[in-house]
Amino acid sequence: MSKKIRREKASAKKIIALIFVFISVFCSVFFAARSRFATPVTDGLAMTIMAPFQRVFSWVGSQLMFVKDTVTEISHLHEQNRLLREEVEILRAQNLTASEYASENQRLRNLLGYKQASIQFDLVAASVIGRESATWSSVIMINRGTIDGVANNMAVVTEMGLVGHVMEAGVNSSKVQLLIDPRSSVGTLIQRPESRVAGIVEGDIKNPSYPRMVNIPKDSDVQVEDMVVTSGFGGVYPKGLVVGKIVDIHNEEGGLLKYGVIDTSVDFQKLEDVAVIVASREAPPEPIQPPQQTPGTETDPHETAQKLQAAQQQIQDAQQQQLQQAGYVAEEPQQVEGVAPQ
Amino acid sequence: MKIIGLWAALLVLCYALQTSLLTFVSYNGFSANLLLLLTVSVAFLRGHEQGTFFGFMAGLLQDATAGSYFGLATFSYMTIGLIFGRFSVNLFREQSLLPVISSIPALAIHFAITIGFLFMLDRPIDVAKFIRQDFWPAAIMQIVLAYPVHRLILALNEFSKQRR
Repeated sequence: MSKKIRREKASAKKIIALIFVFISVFCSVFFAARSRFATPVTDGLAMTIMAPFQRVFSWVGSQLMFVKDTVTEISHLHEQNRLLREEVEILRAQNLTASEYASENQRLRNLLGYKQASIQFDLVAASVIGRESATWSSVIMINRGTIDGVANNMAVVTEMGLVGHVMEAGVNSSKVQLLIDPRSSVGTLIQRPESRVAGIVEGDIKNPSYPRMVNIPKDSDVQVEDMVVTSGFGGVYPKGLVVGKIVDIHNEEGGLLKYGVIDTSVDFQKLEDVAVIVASREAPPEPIQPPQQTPGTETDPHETAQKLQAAQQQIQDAQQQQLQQAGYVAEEPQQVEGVAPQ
Repeated sequence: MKIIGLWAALLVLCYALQTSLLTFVSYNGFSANLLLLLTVSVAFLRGHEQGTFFGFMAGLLQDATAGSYFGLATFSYMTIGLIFGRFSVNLFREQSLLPVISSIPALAIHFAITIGFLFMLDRPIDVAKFIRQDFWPAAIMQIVLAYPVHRLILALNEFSKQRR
């Protein structure tokens, strides 16, 4: 019984102590908040004890953070690397497309320049869309047909020279037989004014890249480096289209004739854009250029022309006056001011 | 004496860990409160008297080093030690689920006491915003650390019993 009373007393003491501690702590909060209660010694002691541990853990934390940052950075680098690789691939593709466009642009510019320069021809621009695999470089397909005005036997050119002729015109595409096809024959002549030797250019089945100019008399004036142009004979090819230049001359087996090997001006392996001559006419005469003047005695041709014109006018007026005086020509009636002549 | 030193060392180490390493894993300035977890576990395992005492010591350590208002953490941890120590009577010692789950109400009580004091000291905070934005991340951190801390306390408690 006494033990129980003693235990209850101890328990009551504990409760009282607990309440006392609670109230004390509770009050200390308010005192501390109003700066009326401070424990500098305790604080200093606690901080002195804690500081080394905190320093160690802080160092560990900073090392872990460093590792974490490094890992994050590596993962970012990996991601960044992946993105950059994708970007490089896209840019490479774009660069390729841009190069393709630039190349196409250059080709079309050249063709347009040729079209504008060749005012005697009506040209229809076309793209090469295929080649016959059986005769790899002899027949090509273009994306223009009869609806574009293309017909059989029309000449096909580039700004570099003659390509061939339309072998078979479809509705929206055509087959073009190239100059280098063994079945092709083009009437040509040597462009050099002293020569003007005529011949026929035909494909060489043994050497497809170099057609031959055949039927040249043995004693004719044909030299290496001579330019070969179409002669206009036969009516398929207009006159004056560049075919190529003579790079070699050989005698025919018969002995009476010789032939020239031609390096074509058109690169048939790189044929992409061509133009079909749908109509041709005589080229207008070149404007007369003033003759070359001796240095130191130059005169202005326009001024001379004006003076000449004025002198001619004076002569005409004098002749007219003489005729009027002689009575061969009636004088012009005087116009009344403000009244229009009937 | 050695046992008391062991408990004191644990308290100091956990507090150092809480105020240094765990601050690197914080959300809006709130990191895991190891002292609170220790107090809850000690209260569950050793009853309300020792829980209150442990809370008192833990709070005193915190107030003495980094406490903004001296006594605030002490009062809070003491209260938590007292409350959760009351449940220890009907708790199986080896069971860890209840102390782990209790880390959330313990945190809620701790914050409630702190906010109550701040309110009484005329420094009110936006409670709704605090609950919405800060409480849950802190609670998740608590619950993640609650199990290892409880197992640690359980082991130390067993070790203390064996040495006695």
